[in-house]
Formats: sequence, structure tokens, C-alpha cells
Amino acid sequence: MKPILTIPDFMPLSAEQRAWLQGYYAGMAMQAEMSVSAGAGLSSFAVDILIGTQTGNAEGLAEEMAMTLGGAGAQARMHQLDDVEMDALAEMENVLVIASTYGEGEMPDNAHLFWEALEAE
Amino acid sequence: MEVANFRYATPLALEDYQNYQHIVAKKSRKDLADEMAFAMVSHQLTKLKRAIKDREPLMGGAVPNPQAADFDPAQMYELVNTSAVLAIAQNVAKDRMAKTMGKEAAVTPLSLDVAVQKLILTEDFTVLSKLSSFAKTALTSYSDEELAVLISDKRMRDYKAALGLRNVRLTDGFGTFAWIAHQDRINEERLGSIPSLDELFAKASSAEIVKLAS
Repeated sequence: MKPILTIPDFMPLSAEQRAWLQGYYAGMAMQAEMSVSAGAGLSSFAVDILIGTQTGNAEGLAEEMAMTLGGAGAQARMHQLDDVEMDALAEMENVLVIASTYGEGEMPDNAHLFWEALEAE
Repeated sequence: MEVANFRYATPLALEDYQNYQHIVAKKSRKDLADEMAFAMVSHQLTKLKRAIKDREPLMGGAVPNPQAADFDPAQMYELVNTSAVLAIAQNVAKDRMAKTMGKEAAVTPLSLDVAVQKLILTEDFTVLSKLSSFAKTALTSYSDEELAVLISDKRMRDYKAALGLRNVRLTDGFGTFAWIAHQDRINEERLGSIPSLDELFAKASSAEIVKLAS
């Protein structure tokens, strides 16, 4: 099985710490697999919130939304729009995009890369 | 008995900056989350950078052992959070190398390690921003008031660190020390009842790292 984490030599970790981390991530990966195969409950209901923001208002709204979802037992993950690769987007089951417009309806700066990638698909 | 004979006044600006009740009244949740997330990831990155430069294993090379009588979960979170910095730096380095060299270009493990180390040692902004999003996810578990307590505690620690770098003995600042002790007591009472940010960050980041690797 391929390790989740490749730990380079320069990392200031002892051999025992490296082994502990590999074990930790192997356990996490196994847990994630089991929760997927066990079927969906509210606790495994995940929402990816994609944020397009210029001054931070949309981000504030996304944080409130993530908090509300978390309070309801769902798993909310926040991403800036320009950090989202198209492959990753295709893997997301529930997506909520919160984006502002500014000026004469232009998209925020951090949405440009995302939009270009989406158009190219 | 003696206490009743004293009256004191503190500048409002000090209260506004360091007391959690004032902080929560004056700052938006977004500002609080931004400050806390950035402080947290900068702390993680700086700590790792220092350990790399010193060539000393973190925590003396110790491994968390839940069976040990003196088991401290903070050790576990420290290791996991350090690995989060590494995983994100690796992810950013791979992305950048793919962009500059093309997706098909062969990236050797050694050249990737050099790029990753450079990103950590320069406290790269993209790495910081990506880690901040884990921190912000972790922070969604806190109420506004709890977040303000974390900010107050952080600002008090910054204040003490700044004082520690100056020669404050000559100023005989009893008021300063009393103020610090007073705020620390207020924060400690509240901090004891809220979950550790290191723990929440570890949970948020490790779940994402597993996803990145799959």
C-alpha cells in the first residue's frame, strides 16, 4: 500500500516519529474508506464550499454557512475558488459556491483561474 | 481588605485590544477568524522552519503513547500538524513544478524535496494560505465569544513575548504585570472549557491530507 505521506530526509523527525505518522495516516485512510462503504449518514454528509471573494464578505458568509452545517452534523470544507482543480471538483458530491460580484458585475480576482479552467473543460 | 482601598483605571484601547469581551464587541467574526488562522499557521510553519535549521527532531524525537501514564495529546497534535505543513508544501511544490516544467515532465524525488524545503524555509505565502483554510475550517467549531478568547490569549502571549525581549525590569511596571495576570486568569477560566485549536486543526488537516493522497 502506497504511504499517504512521503517524509523527506530533511524533516526534523526521528525514525519512530516517521513510523508513527505513517501508521496514523494509514489508520485515517482506512477509517475514511470504512465510512464511505458504510453508507451515508448525516455525519458523513460532506459539503464543499467554494469561495469567490474580493473583500472577504463572501468568505465571512461561507464561514457562517460552514458553522451552521457543522452544527447540524455535516462536514463542511472551505476552498478558495482558484485553489480548486477540475479533477477535484469532479470528485465533490455536494458543492456550494459562494461568490461576490463587484464593480459592474465582475467576478472576484480569486475566481478567474477557476473560471478559465472550467471553460477549458 | 486592602483591595477595597484601591481604584485603578486602564486605557480603553488596552481593553479593546486584549480583553475578549471588548474584542468580540468590536471585531467581526471574519476579522477574528483571519487573525487567528494566520497566527496559527505562521506558528506551525515557523516552528518547523526552526527545527529544520537546528536539525533537531521535534519534541526530542518522542512518540505519543496513549498507554503511557504521562500521555499528552498535545504531542500527537504537534506531529500531525507538522505533517500537515509538509503535505501542503509538497502539494504546492508539485503544482508549481507541473506548471513550470509541464505535467509530463519527470520530477525526481530529490528535486521535489529541495523545492518543498525551500517553500517551508521561506514561509511561502501560498502554503500559508492553504494551511489557513484548514485553520478556518477548524475555527468554525467555535462561537464568536470563544474565538475572541483565543484571540485575547494569543495577543497576551504576543505581548509577553514582546516584553520578554525588552528590559522591562527598570520600568517597575507593576500595572503591566497585574494587567497580564488579570487577563490571563480571565482567559484561563474560559479556555479550559473550549476545545483545543491544535486538536481541531489536526482533525481538519489530516482528513484533507488523506483526501489529497487518494
